This record gives sequence, C-alpha cells and structure tokens, in this order.
Amino acid sequence: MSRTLIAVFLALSAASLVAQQGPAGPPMTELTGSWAMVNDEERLIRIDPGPELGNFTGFPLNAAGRQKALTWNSTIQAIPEHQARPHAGTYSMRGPNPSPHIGEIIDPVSRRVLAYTLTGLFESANRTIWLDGRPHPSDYAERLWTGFSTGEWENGMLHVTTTHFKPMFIQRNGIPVSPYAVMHEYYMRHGDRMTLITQIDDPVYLDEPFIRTSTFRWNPGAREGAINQVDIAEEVPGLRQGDVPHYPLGSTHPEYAQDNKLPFLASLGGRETIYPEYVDKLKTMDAAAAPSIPAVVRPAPLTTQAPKGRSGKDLARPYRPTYENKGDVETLPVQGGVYMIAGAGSNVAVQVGADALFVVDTNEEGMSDKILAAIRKISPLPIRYIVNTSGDPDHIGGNGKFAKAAGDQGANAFYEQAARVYSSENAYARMTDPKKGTPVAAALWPTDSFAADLKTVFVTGEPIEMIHQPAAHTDGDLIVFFRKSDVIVSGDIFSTDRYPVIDAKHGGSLAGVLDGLNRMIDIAVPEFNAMGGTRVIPGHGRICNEIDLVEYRDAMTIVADRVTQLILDGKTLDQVKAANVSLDFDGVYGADKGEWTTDMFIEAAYREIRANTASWKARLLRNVPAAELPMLAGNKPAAGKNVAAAKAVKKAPADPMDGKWALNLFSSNYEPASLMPYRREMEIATSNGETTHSVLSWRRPQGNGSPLSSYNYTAKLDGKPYPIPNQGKATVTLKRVDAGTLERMLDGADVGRETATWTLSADRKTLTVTAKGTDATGVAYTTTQVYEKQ
Amino acid sequence: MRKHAVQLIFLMMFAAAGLSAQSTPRTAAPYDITGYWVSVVTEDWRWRMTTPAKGDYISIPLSEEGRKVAFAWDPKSDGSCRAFGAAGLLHIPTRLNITWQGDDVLKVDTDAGQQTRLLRFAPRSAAGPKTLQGFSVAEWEPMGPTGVGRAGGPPPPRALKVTTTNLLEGWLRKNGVPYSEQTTLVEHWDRVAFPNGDAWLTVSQYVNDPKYLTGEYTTSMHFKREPDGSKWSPKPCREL
Repeated sequence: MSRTLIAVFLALSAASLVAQQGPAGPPMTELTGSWAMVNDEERLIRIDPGPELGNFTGFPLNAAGRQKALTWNSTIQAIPEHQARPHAGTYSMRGPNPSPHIGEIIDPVSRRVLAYTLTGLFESANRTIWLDGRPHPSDYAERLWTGFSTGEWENGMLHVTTTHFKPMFIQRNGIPVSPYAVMHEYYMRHGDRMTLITQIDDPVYLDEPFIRTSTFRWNPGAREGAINQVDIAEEVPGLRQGDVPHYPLGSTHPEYAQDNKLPFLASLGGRETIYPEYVDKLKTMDAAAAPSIPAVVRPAPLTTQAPKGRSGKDLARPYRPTYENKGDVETLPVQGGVYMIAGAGSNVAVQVGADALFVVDTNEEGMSDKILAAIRKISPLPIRYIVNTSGDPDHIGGNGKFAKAAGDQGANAFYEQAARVYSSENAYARMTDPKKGTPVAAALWPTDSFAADLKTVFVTGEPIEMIHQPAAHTDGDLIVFFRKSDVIVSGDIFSTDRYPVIDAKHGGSLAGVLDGLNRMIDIAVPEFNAMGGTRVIPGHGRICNEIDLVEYRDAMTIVADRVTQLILDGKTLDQVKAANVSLDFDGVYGADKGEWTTDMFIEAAYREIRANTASWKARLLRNVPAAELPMLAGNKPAAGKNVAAAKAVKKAPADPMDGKWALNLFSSNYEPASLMPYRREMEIATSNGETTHSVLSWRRPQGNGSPLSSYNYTAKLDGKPYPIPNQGKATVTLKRVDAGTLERMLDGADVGRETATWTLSADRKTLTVTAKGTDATGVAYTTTQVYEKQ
Repeated sequence: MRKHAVQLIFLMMFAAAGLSAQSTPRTAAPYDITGYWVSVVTEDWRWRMTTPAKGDYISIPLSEEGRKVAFAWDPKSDGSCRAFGAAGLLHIPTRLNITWQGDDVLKVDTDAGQQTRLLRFAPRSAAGPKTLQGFSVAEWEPMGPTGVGRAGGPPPPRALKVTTTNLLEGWLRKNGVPYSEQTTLVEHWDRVAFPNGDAWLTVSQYVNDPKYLTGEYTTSMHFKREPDGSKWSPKPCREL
C-alpha cells in the first residue's frame, strides 16, 4: 500500500510540475500568411520621398559611419553597376512599404517546418529563415543582400539571427552597415498584428546596437506583387563605368537641420542624441550655429576573435573574420566546375574538367600536402594546368608539388613536370631573374609565361581567359576567367579583408588596381537584381560576386579621390594621414599591424598620386564636380555646405507674390506621390513688368551629381512664351489673372508640359499652386503645392 | 490503510487547487517588466525629441476635425500635461519605473511629466471620472492568431495586453495633434532579451479615435532596461 501511496504522490507531483511549467516543446505562434506594413512612423522616410541627405537623427552613428554617410551621394545609384540592387535584410522589412508573405518550407517526410520564407520584399530580396538548427556558413562563403538567417522560438517569439550581409545601408540616405553586422529580430504576433523588433549590431559604424520596431497588420488574401526584375538602364548618359560619385571630405549637408530648425550636430546622430537627456541639451544648443563636424573619435577595431561554433547563438555578436593562414583548409564549391580551397591564406581555385583539373594559384609550399589532399577529395583527376596570378610566394609555393601530383611525369617531359604552369612574363621574371625579383627554386618556375594582354585556352571543358592587368598589385598580375563556369579569379588585385597591396617596387600601382577592378566589373554580370551571376574568387577572403567588387572599387576610388583632394590643397603626407581619408573603410579593410597596414596603403597612394597629380585630378573630377571642391572653387564652401547660398535673385517687393517661398510638405499633395520633393524653395521677384522665378528642388535620387535641381527664368506676365535658360527649347508662359492669381504654362522636352494656377491667400502668407501635366519622362501628374512665405 | 490513502489523495488535490487559487496576475506573469527602462528614440526622432511645428501631423491619420484642433494649437502651451496622456505619453522621451502595486496592478511611473499609469488586471472597481491616463485594463493574453497553439503543440505563451479607455482629451504629439475622449488605446507590452545582454521593452500602441482620426494610428516604442533608478530625473509637465 505504501508503494501505491508513493506512486500516487509522484504522479500528482509530476502533474503539478507539468501544470506549472507546461509541456515540453517549442512554444510557437503561427506567423505564416500575408502581412502589410503599417507606416504610421517615419512615413516620409519609409515611403516617398525618402530620407533627406544629412538626416541621421535617431542613429547611434560613430565617426566612421558618419563620414561614410556624409560623403554618400545618391547619384551613385545611377551608375550601371549600382543599379537594380534590392534592399538588404537590414532594411527590407522596413521600407518602402514591405508586404511580406511568410511561408513555410516543410520536410516532406517528417512534415517538420524547416524554414520560414519571407517573400514580397523590395526587388525580390526574399529571405529564408532556417529553423532546423543548421549552422551559419563559413566565413569564406558568399555574403548576400539578405544575409543568412536562422531562427528559434523564445517564449512565443521567433528570434532570428542574421549574418553574412553584403555591405549596404540601414537607411536609404547612405547610413551604412558593414558586412560584419549581425542582425537580431524578434517577431511577436498578437492576434492580427505583428510587432518586429530589430537590433543591428555593427561596431564598425555604430556606437551601440541600433534598435527599431515595426508593426505589421494581418492581410489575408494579399499576395506579393510580380517579381520585379530590374533592367540596367543608361539613366545618366554622362556617367560611365568606373565613376564613383561622392561628396568630398568635409561635406556637411546642413539643409535638413536648417529646414527643421535643428542644431546641426543633432542631425548627425550619435549615441548621445537618442536618449531623453538630449531633449534638455537640444534646448541649450544654437540651431543657427555654422555646421561643423565634430572631432573624429576613431571607433575601436572590431574583434577578430572568431567563435568556435557556427550556430546562430555562436555568431550572436559581430567579429571581423581574418583570412590569414590558419594551418588548415576548407573546400567551398563556387559555381560550375569551380571550387575554392581556403584557409591557408591566399585562395586556391580548382576547376574540374572532364579529364583534368585546372588550378589557379598554389599557395605556400608548406601547405601543398593539405591543399592537394583537399583537391583529391574534389576529384581524382590529374592537375594538368596551373596559373599563377602573380609571382608572390604565397601564390606560387605549391607549383612544383602540384605539377608533379598528376603522377604522370611523361605528360610534359620537356619540363619534367606533368602540368603546364602559366604566368605573365613579368611574374616569371620575378621568380627567375635576380635583377627583377627574388628567384625561387626552379621547381616552382612557370613553364609557360606570356607577355600578351590576353591568353585564352579551351581545356578542361571550357574556355578560360588569362588576362594580364598591367601595373596593378604588381606588374605581373593575371586575372583568370572561367567563361563557362562564370567564375573570375582575381589574384591580389582584389581581397575582401585588406586594402590592395600596392607593390610599387615590383611595378604595382593604385591606378592599375582600380583599372583591374573595373575590368573585372566589366566582365562580371549579376544574374538577377544584383544577386548571383558571375562569382569572384579573391586573392584573400570570401567568395564574391560583382557587387563586392563594386564596393571595393568604390572604397578605393573614394580614398584615392580624398588623397588627391588633399594633395591639390597642398597637404603633406602626414596631414593626409591625419585627415582620416580612409576612416569609413578602415573597419572593414584596415590594419594597424602586419605586413600591409592602412598607413602603408595611404602612403603608397599618396606617393603615386603626388607623382602624377594631373591624371588623378582628372579622375577626381569625374566623381566630384569642381564646384564642390573648395580648393578648385576659389575656397567657396563645399557642396552640401550651403547650397541655398547659391540663390541670387534680384529682389523687388512691389508685387504681392514677390518673396521667398518654401513648400509645405504636409499640406501639399502630389499624384503620383513619388514626384514630391523633400524640399523645394522658390523665389519670385518682379521688376519693370518682368517676373523672375527661381526654383530649387531637392529629391532623393536626381542622378545629376546632386539631389538638387534648379531652374530660373524671367518672363513678362503677358501670356507669351519666353525661353527657360539651360532647359533646351523649353518655354514658360505667364499670365496675370488678378493681383492674387497667375496662370503659368511650361512646355518643352526638358521640363515636360504643365498648366498651373497660382493663387495667393488674402494674408499673402500662402501661395497655392494647382497644376497638372506630364513630366519630362512622360509621367502624368497632378499636384497641389502649398508654399509658405519665408 | 486504504482509507488513509484516499484521505491523502484528497488532501493533495485540495493543496494543488489551493496553489492554483493563489495564482495572481503577478505570479502568473510570463515575464518581468518591472524595473527602470529608458526610451531610446531611434524613430520619429524629430517629432519626439523636439516639439514639431504647428500643423505637422505627418503620419497621423487626422480627420478634418482633428486638423482644425491641431492648427488651433498655441505654441505657448508647449510642455502641457495634455501631451502626457496615455496615448501620447510613451512617445515622449522618458524613463519608466514599473512596479507591482499589490498582486494585480502594474504601476508605470514616468519621470518626464511625472505621470502614473495603472494597468489593472481584472479590475473590480468602476472606471470613475475621465483622466489623462484613463482606465487601463490589463490581461496576460495568449500570443498568436487565435489564442491557441498549433494542433498537438503546447499552449501558446502569454503576453501583456492593455486596453485603455475613459481618457481625457490629450495630444498625440507635443504640438497639439489631438486625440479625443472617445479614444480607445490598445497596447501590447513585450519584453525581449538580446544576446548582447540588453533587455528591451516594446510597447505597440493602436489608437482608435472616431472623432479626430480617420483610421487606427499605430506606433511602437522601445525602452532599454537600466540597472537602477540612478538616472531617474523627474520633470513635471505644465498644468494648463
């Protein structure tokens, strides 16, 4: 009987525990279905017209993030290789107007939910959130717009950890996010509503993790729109590949602060600005003070300590991967028949053909056995072809062992090797001629060197191009392009973890590196909305596609432009180094120690640019108009500093409409809304029967070197057409209806066609413009613009 | 002996029932939101950190009647306690001190404006006269679409839902964008803990006002956990 009592007691105790703790298993809530974003917060930022330049309010930006954002120019989005990008995972759930559909990937046997899918996001950057416990990819794996996401349930909330982003933004006005950022999301469903809290942890650009919350409404029956594949268009004919529009160092973009009567410093964001104490501080700050960027406090370098595991929990905090020789190798399939063997420092590419292997670079001799063992796991076929992308010891060290590894020495008896080893003639000279380099053992010498710009072979099942890029990392660099597999092997012209090593002693140059990067960008074609397509194996680092090349090219171009700008301004090397010309890229590529430091890169760039300033000035002026460079513009303020000051219209207060007017965005309406500028000012001045009308409009992407567009004209109020200067054959016709009413007609290919009525309020403080027409691209619109007297 | 066993079983059942009967909203809380929390203003910064210009009601679905009220706002009234009513209070940069008042009321104090909200679980008393903070009814509501988990799965976790009515007219923004006494405010208060150790409280708000709004006004605010009240800085609002 006592045993009965004990059994009853244990059973009740267990039941009690279950009642208190709940049964085991993940407490899930149903998230699948269609959701619609609610835009009641930051509507102007999340939809049209988008965030203004210089509006960094609410972001805990550090000095590097601020510099990157202040020098970002929206015109860069018109460059062909920048077009058609989707929003990264750090923004795609935020705007514009995402209506995600959450679906499931189900295991066909167990019926377990393996993953959630998020579709319907901007430019189809659709996401997959793996729920099956799979690890995050290797540090050498390609990074994606969406990143790589894993999820787990925590107290009824789905916690998603995302790593492996491409460098992108967290706000559409250039506020950056680095590729090392980690994003955490919690999805919380309450009935028909879902709250998403997002934390972006990115010490490269942020003083502290950035948090925002978004709300979605259950939207049954709605499905995402058609997949938007965006074609690359020639948006601005004057722009060409290789141009990298940006604002020069020192740009401040104070217009946002001025428009909103904010102290300039407040508009720059920062940790201090997002806490309640700042409300009181704002009251003590002078909103009229001249804009001035605060002294740079360099962010602490991101840790390079990689976690031991690869789960979402292991990767919860950001770190900067190192791609040094770790003494072991890993093999990653790239595309087609191409694999990358990584982990030993420089990357090795292996292409598997029908009857042989084609290898690009052989790393260091000491790693040959491990790399060959890894190759054997890919394929037992013999290595018949080897290419050295340069004569650097860490790219050629395995030549001998690799070549002999085929095991059939007779194949190329003349060279006593089984494989052909290709290199440029200059690289060969470095390896063999003591006058031109440091000779290496004869066993490592290439068997086939060439001086031509291009050598092509069709072996191992596909055409392969070996492209000589003169005077880049060295004077002997080769880029290898597997045309069928669609994979580029860049050599050390491109690495994802460092500034390009400019080996000036052996003929290298920054100009050649930029040319090489642009050449590879020219070859590479993304498959769909700047995703996938041609893959790139860098000299060091992770697998890439065209976008990573573009980001690297942009960064190096911008740094070179800044050095040029300072040299033109008469600055010394020390002054250039002190000017933080690479601050916003150092967290990704910089190094304070090692064989190639940031200082060494800046110094190499300085010496090269200093020696040939004229050609570098020409490059600079492709990217930054002379008018924006103080040293070239007669010490005028740089663009973005005080654009409004450019206005110069004679003033005559006689006419009731005369004066300065500013568009009230809240009272105005545009249909379609995308035409609404985020700022518009106009000035009207009448004198001797003629009215001069000047208009400045700021829109997000204008594609003309500036977000600002402007026009002005002078016309009589007689109902006759008058030309509009600098607008082709466009004309304006003004007709006075009464003292408070004007009729205006614009006509011309450059301005479209518009008829409008301007009505002045009785108190002369409000001017209402009702207009309809078609713009220069043929888009029909109607608008009611309400201007307030300034 | 059999008799003793039956008695013991009944005794244990009564004890279990007693334990269950002692469960209160406080002991049933699925997570702890008490303590000090600080607003981190990363959204709508300009509208929250500063007093926007008169008539700046962008993002708010204001009715024609609401617009009239908004445009009638006198900038001299900036700082008025009307900006600190329940539907506007959490937009204002502030610290929260959340405590249990007994076992069934969560008390939310703010240092900005020195307001107190009482979130009452199963209130027994009537709402009383209208106030700035109104009458808030709290519940631990099951998360998810229907309040039940997946078939065969465990019951869904619960989260704090608060419904507030009986409000005096107040402002959604410091520039006098109004909500009326007819307003119903629904909120979900969630707590999350990020891997870097930061704990956050998110409050998702849904404001429905048939008088001044043409549709639901939705916002979500987030507050970071602070270790103590050392930064608590009470500042009264202005009674007008």
